[in-house]
This record gives sequence, C-alpha cells and structure tokens, in this order.
Amino acid sequence: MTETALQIPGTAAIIDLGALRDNIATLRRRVAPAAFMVVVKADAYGHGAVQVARAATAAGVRDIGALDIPNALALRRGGIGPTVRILTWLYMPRQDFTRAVDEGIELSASSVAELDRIASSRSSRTPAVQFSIDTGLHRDGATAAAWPRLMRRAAELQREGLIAVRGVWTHIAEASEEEDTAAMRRFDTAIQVASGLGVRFPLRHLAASSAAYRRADVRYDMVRVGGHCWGIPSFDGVTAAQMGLTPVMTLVTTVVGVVRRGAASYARLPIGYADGLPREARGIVSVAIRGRRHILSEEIQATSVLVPVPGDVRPGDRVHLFGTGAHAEQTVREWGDLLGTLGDEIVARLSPRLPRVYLDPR
Amino acid sequence: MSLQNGSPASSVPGSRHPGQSGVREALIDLGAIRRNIDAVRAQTGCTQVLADVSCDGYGHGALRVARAALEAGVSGFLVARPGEAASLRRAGVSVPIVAWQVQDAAALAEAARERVDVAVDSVQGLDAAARAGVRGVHLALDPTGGELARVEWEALCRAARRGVVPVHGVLARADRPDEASAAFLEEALGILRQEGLQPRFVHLHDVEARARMLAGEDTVRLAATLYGLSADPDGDTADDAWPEPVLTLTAPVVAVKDVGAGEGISYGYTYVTARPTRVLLVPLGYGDGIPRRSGNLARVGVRGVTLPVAGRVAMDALMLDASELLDRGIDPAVGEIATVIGRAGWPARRWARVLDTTSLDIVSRLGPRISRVEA
Repeated sequence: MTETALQIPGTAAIIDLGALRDNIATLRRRVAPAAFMVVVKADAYGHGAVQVARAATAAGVRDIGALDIPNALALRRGGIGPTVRILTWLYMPRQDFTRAVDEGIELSASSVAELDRIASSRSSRTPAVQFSIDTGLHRDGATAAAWPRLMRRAAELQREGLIAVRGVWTHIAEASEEEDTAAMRRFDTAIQVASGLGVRFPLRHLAASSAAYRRADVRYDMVRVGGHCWGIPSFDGVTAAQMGLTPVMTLVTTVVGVVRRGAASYARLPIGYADGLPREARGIVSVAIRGRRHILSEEIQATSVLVPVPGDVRPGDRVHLFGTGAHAEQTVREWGDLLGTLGDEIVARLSPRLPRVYLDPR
Repeated sequence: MSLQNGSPASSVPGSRHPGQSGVREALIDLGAIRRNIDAVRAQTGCTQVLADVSCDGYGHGALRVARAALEAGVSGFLVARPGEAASLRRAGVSVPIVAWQVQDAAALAEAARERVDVAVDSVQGLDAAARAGVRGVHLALDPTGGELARVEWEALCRAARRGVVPVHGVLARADRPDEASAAFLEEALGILRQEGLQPRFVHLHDVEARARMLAGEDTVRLAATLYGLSADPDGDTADDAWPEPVLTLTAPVVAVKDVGAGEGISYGYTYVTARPTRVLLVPLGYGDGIPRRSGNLARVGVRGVTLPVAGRVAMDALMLDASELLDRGIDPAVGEIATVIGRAGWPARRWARVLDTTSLDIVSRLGPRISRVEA
C-alpha cells in the first residue's frame, strides 16, 4: 500500500515496514555468516519496538537487543516468542530479575554484584547470562582489572548450575580505526582469560552498525544493528542509497491554514517542538510542499510552526518534513548533518504522542 | 514494592523527596502548581485563570496538572487539539476547555462531542465550527498581524455577531508584546464590544505579557508560568525564585568505574581524563530527552556537587566525572541519586541557557522511559 492511498490526517510518522525488511535483508547479507541482532532500544529509535521486532523476526531475525527489562517484557507481551533471544544490559540498582528469567530474557552482567543478583532470582528457570567487558568506551562492562574476578564467579555459578553462560560482548568507541582494533585485541584477551578460568562463550559480539558495515574483521559471531535497519547511515561520506538502504520513517504533516502578514504568505503546520521538531532547526532544515523545499525560517512553537510559502499553497496540502526524498524532502540523516547531530537523535526524540502509521505490515 | 509497577505513593502529600523510586524519575510537585496559580492571581488581580495543559501538560501529565489546577480554582483549560480534551472529560473535568489548534472536520466533530470550545481566526473557521455543532468558540487574534489582521478581525466579529456559535472568549497570542500590539489589542476589543459581544474569557498568555497589554480584563492564561518555566529565552535569564519549577528529574547511578589519567570517555573520546578519577554512569540519554549536545557542557548534581557530563551523551546514558566529589573525600557508589533538573542540580532554566533554548522546551521533551511521580 502506498502512502498516497492512505488517509493520514494531520501529523504522523509513517513507518515503511517493507523498507525495514529490505534493509535488514541487505545488511544480513553483508555481514553473513555473522548473525544479526536488531537493536530496538528507545522504542526502536522512535519507530515502535514491538512493530519493528515483529517485522524483523517474521523476516528470520532471531536476536533482539532490548536494552532493559521493561522493554524486553513488552516485546514478549507483544508476541516476540521464546524462539527469539532478547538481550538486556541496563538495570536500575534495585532491579528484580525474576520475571525476566521466567520469560527467558538473556541478561548481561558487568560486575559480580550484578551477576549475583541475577543468579539469586526467584525464578525456577536458570538465568541465561552474557558478560560485558569494557574495552575502552568506559560505559558498560567490567574493566580488564575486574574481569578475572567476574569470570571466577561465573565459573563457580556455572558449575553449580545456577547460570547458563550464553555469550560475551563489548561496545567500541569508534574514535578511530586504530583504537577500535586495540579494543578488539582487549576483547580477544578477555576471552582467553575467561577460557583459562573455565568459562567459554557460545556467542561473541562486538560491533554495532558502523563497524559492522565497514569492517569484516569486527563481526565475530554476531553484530548489533539499530540505525542502519531504519536506513540512517551512522558514518560520514555516504548516503543511505549508496549503502543499499532506504530510510524507513517519513515525517509528514498537513497545512492547516495560510496566514498573511503584509505581502507574504505563511503556511501554518500543526507540528512543533513538543512533537519533536527541534527548536534549533529554525532557519536550517527545509520541508517539502508541492514538490518544492521551503526553509523553516520562523520560530518553532510548542505545537505549530509557520513556514513562508508561495501563493499556491492551500490548507490541506501534504507536507513532507523528512523521508526518502521521493517528494523532494530531505532525509533525517541530512537533518542530523545540518543540525550537528545524528539522525538517531531526531527520530528517537519524536514525541510518543505523535501518531505512528505502519505501511506494509504483512 | 515492585519496581516494574512503579513506586508507591507517599502517604503525606508534599513529603516525597526526589529519587526515592530508584528509577528514572520526574517528580511533579503539585503544591508548586497550586502556589504558582495563587501567586499569579495575587500579582495580576485576575479572578479567572486558564491553565494550558497541552502536550500532556508539557511533559508533566495533563490529568495530574489539571487536578492540582482545579484545586487551586482555575476557571478552565487550554489544550492544543480536541483529542487531548477527551481524556480530561473522561476524568471528570467539567469546566470549560478550549482547543486552540483545530485542524479539520474530524477534529471539529470531536470538539463538538467532548463539549470543547475551539479557537477560530477566520470567518471560514467560524462557519466550519458552526456546521460541526461546536458548543462555543474563542476568537483568536494575533495583535502583531497588522492592517490585514484588523480587516479580518472586523469581518470575524461581524460574523460572530450573527450568533450561530456562542463566543466564549478572545484568545490573544502575542509572543513579543510591544506598544503597537497593545494598541491593536485595545482597538480589537473595542470592535468586539461594538458588535455587542461580551465573552467571559478575554485572555493573553503569561503574566508579563498580560500586565503590559490587557489592563482591566479579568482573565490570565498560563502556560510555561504554570510549570515554573519559560517559553521565551529572555524569561530564562532571570534568577529569581518565582515562578516555582514544578518538575525534578533524577536517576540512580547504575555503575561506577575507576579509570586512569588520559582515558577517553564515551563515543569518539571527546572527553579525556586529566587524572585518575571515578566515572559514574547515569541511565538518562538523548532517548530520554537529554539533548545530545549537552555532553561536555552541562552538569548534574550528586551529593551536593554538580559534576560535569563527561563526553558524548549517548542514547540511553550519560557519564559524570566524579573528581570533584573524590577531592572532597566523598566516595560515590551505585545507587546515588543524580539530579539532572532540580534544586540539587541545575534548574531547567540553566540547562536552557547553556543549550541556547527555553526551559519549557527542555521539560516538554522529556521522554517516556522517565516515570512521572507526584509529590
């Protein structure tokens, strides 16, 4: 079903699940034989975690990155069943793991304290645990100094049948190719240290969208991909089209009125910063109406913005803010470049109240 | 107490301290909402206050803000779109509500069903509202509009005089009030009254604008002021205590890590440690509404000290360099409460100044992973 066939009133984020499936297929081919995890944190960067996970798993993806337990449980409730592995790695200090273990969610541990809390859940199931090592990003993961103690504890709990060890992973900083290579060496060393202490990992993963696309040597057993699935390039010098990807989200609205100030006409658009249109976009990004681009030159209010337009623009005209470019609109990656940020930030910060419309759910 | 079901309500209103939930938390001080409303009535002498709860109360939760506002005696509410009014009506709010951004026939029909007034700025808009059976309108006026706006206003008032839809208010929008717009507004109200229209609510937003432009009218409309915030960058430069901010944003420190000197922190290593320090991981990032550009700019409060946000803000977390706590002999650990917005950290207006935006912008865009709880 095409966008034009849909009656979309007002403002909406249109999410093309056909394009999502095509992007995932392209990316999976590229990284094969490594497995492919679709990362759906922050509501799949604003695209809808459950909808994206359903489309991905229907297309054969068997690994989902959920970030935290509330998101993971919502995915199980949304029909992502036990044949799909769901990984979490961010917990609040008083997190109870019982329900997560009951639902077969895979839990990442960065410290002995975390591991012990996971192992002492009141579930009758054995927790499936992955281990996170800090290879330089200094965010999640055990430091190299803390790693041997964590591995000794893991070996002990595994021997006692209190955990099932499923994998080892890390995040890299992508400050430079050399530093990422150094991170890989630290990762390999950590795996060797663990092996010496009796802990072996069925699954090893290091790379996220950018490194996974650009380098074959980082892919290990699996890669974790978010932004590239929805067609937002994560590194400089390349467009989605050049990568063989299509932007999945198109942000649209409708002209609700035309205001005259002196000799000039302004279209009033019912979208503003409380919907997720950044105030700092003023004077920088364009919107497309009737196949022409118009810069958002006026102040962006909480729920509306005026845009100067020529005399032929009418109430009811469709407005494309960002998308594939098919209607002369910019891509969200272009908006990110123009605003000095990532397309990821723009889509992830769209208001949850802004309606999502799904094309091609199959 | 299960974290997944949210946190328990405190037994004594106003006694809840920020961060007790142990999760990402926006603590909404309903007493501050009531105090802001009382202060506005005292300052302006207006007896009628309209409270703007658009956009789910600009991130605070429209229903709880409405409840507090009603307790403080507001006369009515503004919402942006009729759909927002539906949930207020279902919660039992029976006072007048006006939806000021009405789009199409479906929205007008919803307004009619929910007994919500709509704002109209043209004769066509008035006629469409009448056809939809809307119960009342507020005539919308932009006093900066110039001669063309004056002509349209006269036509609108004449059309309204026919009485097809009752006129319940005049909604004036003037973000930059000045002498010319004050004169225009006075003239426009004169035209309105010549047509025999006497709406109950003649309202201009915000206290300062109103004071300058609407002498003698009994209604004030509160948006940012209600929440102790500003929709105008100039409003964020003041350091005085009023209006009182309503929202406090906290999260627990979820990991601590001791790192050496010369270590890069976060993506791209845009922050490098000068000396050995402790890095605190706070589970709030741009996916929660902390602007990505806050990295290496903003500060977050831990144990009475504001610590720098070290390196890039990621989608789900930010990191703090705790050197300044270690220097004071304080040993931060997992579970510490990090205050991102609030008295124990930076106020929203300071974030706004540093990020070159407004405090209302910052708070309106806080994301859904943050639990809203009430004090």
